[in-house]
Amino acid sequence: MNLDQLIDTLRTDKEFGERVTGWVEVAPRAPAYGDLPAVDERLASAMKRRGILQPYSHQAQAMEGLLRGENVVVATPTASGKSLCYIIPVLEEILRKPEARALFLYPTKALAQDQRTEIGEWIEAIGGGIASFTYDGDTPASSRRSIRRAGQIVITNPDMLHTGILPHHTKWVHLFENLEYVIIDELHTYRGVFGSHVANVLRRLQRIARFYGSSPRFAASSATIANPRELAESLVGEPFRLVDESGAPRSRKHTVLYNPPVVNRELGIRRSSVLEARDILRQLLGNGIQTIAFVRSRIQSEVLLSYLRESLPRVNIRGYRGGYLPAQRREIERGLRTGEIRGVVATNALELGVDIGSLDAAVLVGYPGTIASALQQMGRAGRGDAPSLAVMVASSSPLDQHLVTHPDYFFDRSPERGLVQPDNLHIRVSHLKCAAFELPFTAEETEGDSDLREILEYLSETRILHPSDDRWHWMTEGFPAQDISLRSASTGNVVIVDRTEPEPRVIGEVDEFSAPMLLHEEAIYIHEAVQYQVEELDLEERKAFVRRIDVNYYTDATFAADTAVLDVLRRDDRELASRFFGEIRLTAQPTTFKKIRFGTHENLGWGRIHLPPREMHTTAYWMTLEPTLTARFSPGEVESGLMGLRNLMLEVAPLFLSCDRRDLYAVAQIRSPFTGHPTLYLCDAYPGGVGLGEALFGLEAELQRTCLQVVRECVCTDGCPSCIGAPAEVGASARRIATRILARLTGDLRCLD
Amino acid sequence: MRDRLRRMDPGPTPPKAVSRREDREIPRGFRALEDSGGTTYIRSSEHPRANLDPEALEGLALLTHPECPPQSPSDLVALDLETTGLSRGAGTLAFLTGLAVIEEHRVRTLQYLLPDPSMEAPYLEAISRELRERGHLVTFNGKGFDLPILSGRFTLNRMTPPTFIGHHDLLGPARRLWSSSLPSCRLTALEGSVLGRDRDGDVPGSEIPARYFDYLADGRSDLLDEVVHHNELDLLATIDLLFRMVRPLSRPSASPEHLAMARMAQAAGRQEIVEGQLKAATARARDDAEYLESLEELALYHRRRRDYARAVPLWMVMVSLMESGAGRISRDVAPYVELAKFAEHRLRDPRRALRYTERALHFDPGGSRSRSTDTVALHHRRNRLLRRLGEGDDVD
Repeated sequence: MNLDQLIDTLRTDKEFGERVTGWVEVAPRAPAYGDLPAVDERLASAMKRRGILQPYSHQAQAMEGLLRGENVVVATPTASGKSLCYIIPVLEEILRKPEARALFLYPTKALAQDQRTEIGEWIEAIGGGIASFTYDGDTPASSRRSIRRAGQIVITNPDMLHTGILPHHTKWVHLFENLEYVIIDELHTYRGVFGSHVANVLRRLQRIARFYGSSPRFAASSATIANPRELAESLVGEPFRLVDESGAPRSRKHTVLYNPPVVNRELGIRRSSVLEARDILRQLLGNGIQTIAFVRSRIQSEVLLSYLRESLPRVNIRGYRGGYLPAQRREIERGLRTGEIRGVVATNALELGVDIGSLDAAVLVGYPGTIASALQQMGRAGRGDAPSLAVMVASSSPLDQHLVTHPDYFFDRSPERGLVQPDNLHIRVSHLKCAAFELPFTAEETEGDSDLREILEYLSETRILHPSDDRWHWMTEGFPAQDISLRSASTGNVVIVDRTEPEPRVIGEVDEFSAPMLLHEEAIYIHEAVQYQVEELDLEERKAFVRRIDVNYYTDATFAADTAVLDVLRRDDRELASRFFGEIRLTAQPTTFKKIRFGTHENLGWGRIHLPPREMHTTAYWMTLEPTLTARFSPGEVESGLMGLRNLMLEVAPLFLSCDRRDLYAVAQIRSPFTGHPTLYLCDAYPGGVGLGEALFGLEAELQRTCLQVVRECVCTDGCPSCIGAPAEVGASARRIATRILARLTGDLRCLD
Repeated sequence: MRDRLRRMDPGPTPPKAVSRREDREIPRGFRALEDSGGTTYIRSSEHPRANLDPEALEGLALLTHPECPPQSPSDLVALDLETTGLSRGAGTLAFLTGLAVIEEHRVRTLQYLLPDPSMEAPYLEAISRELRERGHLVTFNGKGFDLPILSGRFTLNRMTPPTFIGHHDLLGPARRLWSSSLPSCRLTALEGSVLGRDRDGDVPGSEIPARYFDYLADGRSDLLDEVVHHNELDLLATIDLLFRMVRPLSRPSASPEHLAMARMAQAAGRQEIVEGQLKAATARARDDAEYLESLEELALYHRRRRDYARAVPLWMVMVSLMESGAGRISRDVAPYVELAKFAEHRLRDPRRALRYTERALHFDPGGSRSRSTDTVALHHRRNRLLRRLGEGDDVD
């Protein structure tokens, strides 16, 4: 069967049909063109030779804006030809003025390599003569000097800009004196902690450019998000012109929301989304349809991959996730492009614009957490003019259930906002140190920014800076950029060493933050569908030693968190429940792990994790239930209700924040040492906070309303993992009490009991 | 804000008051040079030295082969920096810049101290004035460290970095001259082993940045005295090392030094020096190893000039030395191969070539030579010679 036939079969399949909660078919759309702006003859004819007689309307608009000197952000769907929007203006500038320089930023080295090839093709098409280079950790020392001097287009990533270019700006005089363009591709990836870091790196870039007398214009391109212009403007700190009406043609596309059947009504248990996805993937891959499956975690990717390899032994199916070594990833990407690999089970590591060519179908195992990610993942299917299919299989999490049972909400909802918090104190102070290393701060720079002045004074008191003559000089031995990783709270990764064979070998790596959860002793670590058991985790040496093993289960860790209030920054005292925003100290400790059987996902046992707690200072939103609200419940009921609310709010909150569930910690205290009352905290999982707590403080009412909707509409009777958690964990009355609390808080008292 | 900062970063170093520049002591031996842009501290001292051999300048060109050799000793200036860190990024400050110039019967050191980071422009200007007078820079590891940092400081102050006709970084030649015979080629190590001077009580390099930070904080200059002294010793060591390095050109020295000098002369295209140095190397050899190595280099020199009348006897000496026991040191069959090639291609005597090849194959002093590439190549050579002589089939 080809995809059209398979779609017809699925459409008429009764069982499949019953589980589908939404099916949207988007008709093909013809292209809309614009006029090519006046550019150098060599460029115009190169475009014609490459088959571009006329740019799409969005490309024409973007080029015009950039050629006029404006900052432009292009936010159009995957494969709409975004890179052309900036490649043409950059080449035009360099053809006109050979000393002009352009800096291209991509979030990963792999993307930079991809794009270098494309830029190279354009340079060749105009007859050569423009020097473009990638400059990253892999660039050999012998060619660095000539790149610094002669590279007209320098392609790099924010991390390299941060540690390799800005701190050494005196060697990049040619670039900074003539910097005309800064290209920021995959803008939407620069949100949250990473985005907040990158915003600061870009401020440092502008500061250095100003010092050398240049003021580059910025061109950004983004996948679909709600606020591309706002994100670009807060990253760069300058106004942008937005181009978001795509003129590119579109093929026929089917998008299906699928809810696995209920297998235990009382407990609200649905069939596992992984198993359900396996069955759908079997049909697709079995019919030779090249398909990508997106899963939510590394563990899921390996579990699903094992299932598929077992049932389709002759089909070439691979995994793709963080932790695979770069060479292996490149090989898989190549295999997907050539069509040699027919199926891939990926985590969001493949979400970025890594070039894997066009696939026919995409299956999302669980809602990836944001509409933007869902669109991006679904966009992997259907490049070119062939029809395509995207299926999202809901998991039993409250968020998934909320979306799959409200398909209109999913289809109509605009994608999330990308948020950054460049003023996060940790992040800002880190980058101010780097900036001071690069150039002394002047009093002029602190005008109108009393925070900056205070930070500089503080750093002087602690003898990191030396104040003199209205300037602040770096006066410390270290190299600050080296100690600051843009990607996470910690700087290093934990390397996974397989010592099954006499010769130990490195099979992958995990960031330091996730390591205690994934690599605690006795954990089963799965890599390319091979199981390893962790024998030793050495956090100091950043090494985990594993040995190959063959068991019928995998492991899943849980952790305990506690909080102490340090400072209240905002408060709103109310009759039923008061809300707060402030600074807290969060202590998190992995406690136990469960062994879960493959296939049935039943619990086979558990073990303790012996690892030290981690502590961080961060910001949080918290809500205190006042006696007026809790008086009518017994203490046991309050406890149950609070536990239920904690689980529910943690699951639902990401819907409003464009963040991952793991970006938040939820803590419930029956009697808070701070307020003396039952209190629920939602904490930012990054030191210093990146604005999630503050956003929740503002979104409280909306959050409570949605939580109420989720818990009310759940199919279970006394609570289940799809709403407030398993009754065995939170108590039999949890669902009832949580519903009543939410009803009182929102004033929505319909059908109470 | 202050509270949040302190909470974020608990237990920082206790705050110390920062002294004002005017209140800081001027370190011992320095004088303040005022100009419109600010103040620079300068210290100048003289150190008696014998005059530089006229040949030494030529030797310097040979060691570091710049296009234009220095014309007079006064063209040279040695440079050594003391910095606030080892990273070469823009935040590393060169707070003490030491220069050394050669005068009649003495070396003059000129040390520039940055009184305060805000006064970098006049400081650099003063350094630049002195450097402009000199076309040739002499450093020890200056290509990798001192010059990039100093140039970066000029760029950062939007001043033109100094340029030189030649930059003679002595680290490379030092390695070529001494790495085979000495455990370390760091400047202080060479100062001890080559110049025979020990530095007692020298301030450890790792402490130097903190000494300057402390000076800025409390204004007391005594901790800087040792840094200034350290810098002066480094400058003198650099100059003395330069004098010492060219010694094999004018005076008998150890065989490896003559050999290294010959190799550097070869690389610089100074044929007229090569032969004399190689002869000195053979004459000064202290043991078979040194002797064999210099003989080999000398033979190679003659062969390159197609002077087989001189090369062949040397190979024969090597072969007999090796067969009489020096083979413990060198198992390199190169002299046999050279003799075989000479016999085959020059004398057109394949039989004689075969004899050398056979001898090479039998030469196995350690008794452990397996089928190394040498052996394989020798077998090929033998078989080819046998075929040429028409004496039958391959034996191997």
